[in-house]
Formats: sequence, structure tokens, C-alpha cells
Amino acid sequence: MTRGLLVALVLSVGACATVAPYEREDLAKPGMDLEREGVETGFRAHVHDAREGATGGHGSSGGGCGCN
Amino acid sequence: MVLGTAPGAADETTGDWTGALELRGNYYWETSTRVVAPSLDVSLAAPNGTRFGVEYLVDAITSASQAAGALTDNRFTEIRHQGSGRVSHELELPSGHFLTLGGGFYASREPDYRSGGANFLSALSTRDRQTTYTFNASFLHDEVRQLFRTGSRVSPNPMGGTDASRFAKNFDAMTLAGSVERILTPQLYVQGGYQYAYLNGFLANPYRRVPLGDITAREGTVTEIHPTVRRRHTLHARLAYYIRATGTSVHLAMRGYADSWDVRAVTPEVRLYQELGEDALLRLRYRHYNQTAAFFYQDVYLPTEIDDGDLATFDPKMSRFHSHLAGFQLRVRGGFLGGTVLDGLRNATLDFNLSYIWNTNRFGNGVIGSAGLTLPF
Repeated sequence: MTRGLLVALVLSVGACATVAPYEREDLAKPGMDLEREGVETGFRAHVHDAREGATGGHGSSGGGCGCN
Repeated sequence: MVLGTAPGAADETTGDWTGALELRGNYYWETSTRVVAPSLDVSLAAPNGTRFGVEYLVDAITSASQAAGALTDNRFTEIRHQGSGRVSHELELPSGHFLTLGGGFYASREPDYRSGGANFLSALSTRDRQTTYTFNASFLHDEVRQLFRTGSRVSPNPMGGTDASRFAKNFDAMTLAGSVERILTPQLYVQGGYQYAYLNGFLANPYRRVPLGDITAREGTVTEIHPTVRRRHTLHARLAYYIRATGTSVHLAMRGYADSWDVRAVTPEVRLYQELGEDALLRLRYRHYNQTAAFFYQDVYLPTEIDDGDLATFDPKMSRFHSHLAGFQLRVRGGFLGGTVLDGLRNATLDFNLSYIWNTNRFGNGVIGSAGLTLPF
């Protein structure tokens, strides 16, 4: 499934039409912008890092607190 | 979203600085651990487009776990302070593309653990801002110490007989990450990337002991010892689509992970954001996590098979396990306060978050909660 999603992603990046700035109203909706959730996401990612063997995809490398 | 309209954009016309202040209370609960973590984040944007940010967080961790240094069933509370800062600036290149350069620092301190690091980030957006390529690098240095919770700084047997003043281990981590984000249609964008992390040093828990024999017949313990080098590889992808007819945003995400300790993991996630009128947004979230065990993990270590000094672990997150997380968030903007005595809060946002984790390893189930107040200015 991971591989399929990544293949679809790579293909889609090279195959799309230009979207003009005035057409991006929907992309600016609050539900489309995860940057607004940065602080909340940071704490949740910290919990996952401390309780799961895997990490990454959100900037952390593991470590950073005594949670090993 | 890098390509979207960022909150708190500077006003070049008036020359005003803009920004936001975010106060948040975070909470985590599981059988043996409680964490209460208030935080404060301030972001600023200068009229010339330079962005600044600082964050301060305090972790109050209450635990009875021996893996955190408790020698008895008595609970203790430990405080961790964390601070970070960041700055970035966007440049318009002669080609018409946009290059953002930035960096930041991070520091964390608790009685038996110190950590510090720095990061560098860059983002290149095409002239039409339809595609953004990012590259990040970070470095981390951690210092691991022991502090036993009995008032004495000397560890009794069989906890290793180690004096806190003599136990001093470190580890370093380097992370390199790249990603690409692209708008595909007026309602759809995709994002994907790769991250590599290299960790070198003391990667075990300085307190945790590994019991020998099965649970019905314990035959002593040995020191937990992990390999001193770990290489992590992470692939991640996300797709976001907006359904105009219903005011719904759908996010599908997938993460694949593999490391040099033979831990493999997949993490699919679905989020739905539903607009409720002009001022409220409901988020529903489901996340699944599934991992294999590290190559040195065993459910039972027999005394005849292992000596003190061999690789061994009693860390639940080194075992094979999976978890399910389901949660919601309600975010309300104060627009309905406009024209009242609380008119000054009409642009403020209040959010409540609650997630429950069903976990199949020894950590057990958990709850993550938070409440936040964001005040733009």
C-alpha cells in the first residue's frame, strides 16, 4: 500500500494542469492547512516517538528526552 | 501546507508586524505514566517576510515505572523543560522562483537527561507556487544520566551498582529529509518525502533491567543493552482533497519505516475535517500503527542463553505490536463574538482534542488530550 501511494504520488506530480492563484480558494480552507496544527501535532508526535519503534515523517529522529 | 495562505502573514503595505500567540495544555495518560505539558508558542512575521518563532514547554511526568528510575511502587514526578526557536526568510530568485532559508535550535533539560540540537531548512517554490521542494537537516546531541528516586544517588543492586555521578553516556543523531508538495487541481494537493536518520551512542534505557526466565519463574536480571548505531529510513506520503459541496476536507496519509534494528512499520491514517458553519471545524481521525520486533528482542530470555553484556531489551516498543488511534478535534473561532464586549477575541481560536489509543504491547492503552487558545495579532 505504501509503495502504491508513493507511485501514485510520483506520477501525479508530473501530470497536472496549472492551477491559477485565484483558483486556490478551496486549498486555503482551514481543513486543508495542517500548518495550523503544528504545536498540537508536535506533542502528539512526541508521544508516538516515545511509545513506538518507528519515527520520522514529521521531523524528529528519536531521542530528545529520556523516553528510551 | 507550504503552498497555502499562511496564518499571520506580515502586512507589507502598512509595515506592521503580525503573528500569533498559542497557549496549549497537553495531557497524556497510560497505566503507569501521566504527562501534563503546558506550552507557549509565539510566531512573528516581519514586514519584509522574515518569520520568527519561539516555543516553551514543560513536561510534568508522573511515573512509577522502573524504566524511569523508580525503585519502588511509589510514584514520582519529574519536570522536563523544553525550549526552541526558529527563523526563516523567503527570497525571490532572479528566475522568479522563491527560495526560503531558515534554521532553528532546540534544548531540553530534565534531571537525568539533557538534549540540544539545531536544524537547517530550505524550500524552493516554483514561480507559480504550484510545487515546493523542501530539504531539512538536523543535528541532536543527548546526554544520558542516572538518578534514582529514593533520595540516594547510588543505585542499589541489582540495578547495576552504578553511581549517578559516574554514569555518563551520550548519543548523537543526524537527520536528513527531503519532500515535494504539489497542487494538482483547485481541490487537491499531494505531498511525499523521505527521511534518513543516523543515531550513534547510548540508545538503551539506563534504568531498565531485562528479567530472565518466564513470568512464572524469574531468575534474575541483566542490564538492557541496545546496539549503539541505528539507521532509520522513513517514506511518507499524503493526499488532501476538498469536497466543496459538503465543506469536507479529506486527508489520506501513509508512512513506511525500516531501520537497521529490523524494525519495520506501516502507519496509515485518515482525517476528515467538517466545516460546521463559518466558525467551527470538526476533525475526526483514525491512525493505525503496526511494527515488527527488533532483531535482539525476545519475549523470554533464558539464563542459559544470555550473559550480562549481550544485546537484550525489555523495551515494549522493541516488540512486535500494533495500535489503533481514534480521536476528534473541535476548533471554534470567535467570529460570533464580533460586536460584543468580547469583540477583541473575534479572531481567536479555541480547540479541544481527544484521542484514545488501543495498544497491544505492555504500555497498554492510552489517552492523548489537549486544549489550545490561539490569539492572532
